[in-house]
Amino acid sequence: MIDAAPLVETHAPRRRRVLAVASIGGHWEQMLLLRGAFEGMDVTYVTNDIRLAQREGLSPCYAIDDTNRHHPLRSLRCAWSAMRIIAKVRPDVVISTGAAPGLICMVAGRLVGARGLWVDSMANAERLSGSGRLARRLAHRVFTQWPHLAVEGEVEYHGSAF
Amino acid sequence: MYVARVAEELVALMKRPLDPPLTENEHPARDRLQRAIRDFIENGR
Repeated sequence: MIDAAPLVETHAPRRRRVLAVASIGGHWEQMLLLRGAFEGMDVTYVTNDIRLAQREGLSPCYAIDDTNRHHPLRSLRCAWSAMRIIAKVRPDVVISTGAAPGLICMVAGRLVGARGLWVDSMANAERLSGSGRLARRLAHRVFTQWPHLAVEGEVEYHGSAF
Repeated sequence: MYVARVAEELVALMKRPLDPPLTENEHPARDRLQRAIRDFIENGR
């Protein structure tokens, strides 16, 4: 009698690696409200102050400089941090509720093949944020949280965090 | 005629039962958004 090994090896499907990036304030609050979407996934959080994540018991979390288009040097530092985080985490998906650091992480993620999802902040009720408008070109999908801001084939509305 | 129709609609409106209140954990708009996010992550759609 020969003990035969099973012909087909069974592998559990690899858990999705998600990088969730949100700046301090409302962006972070909205990410917290949406984190139920990441259940069962390997989530790494990125924000400007890791104490925010520690307070919620979220780990791992990396800190990144806050920046905007008026601070080019700080943006460079932010981009360097983003590339280091992306190289370490190797996410399948980068998702951000804003602001500029989220967009920078999304671009860095694309360099390693990560898909990008931009969820524009609910604070932008009249038009997409500046980062959101850029994300239309840089992210794979862009969601708005206001139905009247949806644009066929470009910006989708599915619901809102609040 | 018009007044009678308005009165009829008002009566119908008053008789209509209220929608059940949402509990603290219910948030249909957030649920829909979370589902769309999850769908994107899992299926790329």
